[in-house]
Amino acid sequence: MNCPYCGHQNFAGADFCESCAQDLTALDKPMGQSMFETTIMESPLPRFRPRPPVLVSPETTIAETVVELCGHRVGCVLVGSEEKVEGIFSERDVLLRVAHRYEEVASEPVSAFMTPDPEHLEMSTPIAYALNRMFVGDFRHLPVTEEGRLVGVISLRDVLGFLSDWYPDLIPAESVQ
Amino acid sequence: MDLREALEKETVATVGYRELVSVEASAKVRDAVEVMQREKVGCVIAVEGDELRGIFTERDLIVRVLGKQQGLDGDLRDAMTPEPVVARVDEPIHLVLARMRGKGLRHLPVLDANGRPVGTISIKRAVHFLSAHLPQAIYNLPPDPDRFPARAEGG
Repeated sequence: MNCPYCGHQNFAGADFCESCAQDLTALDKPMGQSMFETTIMESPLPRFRPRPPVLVSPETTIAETVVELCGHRVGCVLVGSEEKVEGIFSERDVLLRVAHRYEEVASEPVSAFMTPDPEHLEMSTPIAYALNRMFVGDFRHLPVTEEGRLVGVISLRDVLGFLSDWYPDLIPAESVQ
Repeated sequence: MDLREALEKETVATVGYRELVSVEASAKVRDAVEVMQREKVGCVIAVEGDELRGIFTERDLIVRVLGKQQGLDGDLRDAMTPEPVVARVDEPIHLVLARMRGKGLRHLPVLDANGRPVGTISIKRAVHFLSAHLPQAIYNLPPDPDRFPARAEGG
């Protein structure tokens, strides 16, 4: 079986990954009790359709960053480049870190207010692990990388979208009252 | 209970919602921002007495205030969403999720049986109910030794 964390191919039933020493015992347990559960344990992140990231440079001012947040209808921007994500700056950071002194900090660089070195996930990560990071780690947004290179962002909204795809009769995508 | 059953049977009350954080609708944007910062919440409910008048979210702060070069001294009425889409405490969670999905909303005011605002439910709370029904999938995962966040990205 392939280690879900490093991809190393181990013997079936191995307790630990030979390559990264991850505990693989959980993988031996019966798989999910429903199709939904099995799917989130087995499907990697492309099922979530990660959105293209909005990237800004570290020197971008707070005012310019706010314009990006408005224009792209996104909840966060990533700071840096596709090769190296240096930070993340979200709507919550606007509220908590800059709103009360906006005029004073509008021309300062976003790098002074971002959360540096954000946690990210590889595209091959199972959906269940992304949910774990969102719920346990309390992240609303998680950058997604492919071989270390930034390719997208997933958010709680994508979790809802996935649920909606699964139960379209209960959670239709179009507007309801 | 499988997930379909849970979506139909769980209600706003059983899933849980945040207790009411409100400001008077006649307040300034600055007052709302202060309350949101102090309570660390992404939205406040604007009320007149015990009646719902609107909702003001961090998204509104960005799009209708800061993004338009408005200061925080403007009236909350001009920046909030009046007559917002709501959730009721006793309604099934799938209806609330459907409303969030269909209208792209992240927060809904929660009203009691008398139509009075009693709190808010966020997309985070609404999808988090999944984890209670899929503990094996979501929590029985081996830890990732490489990355332990020092703190949350911000909520």
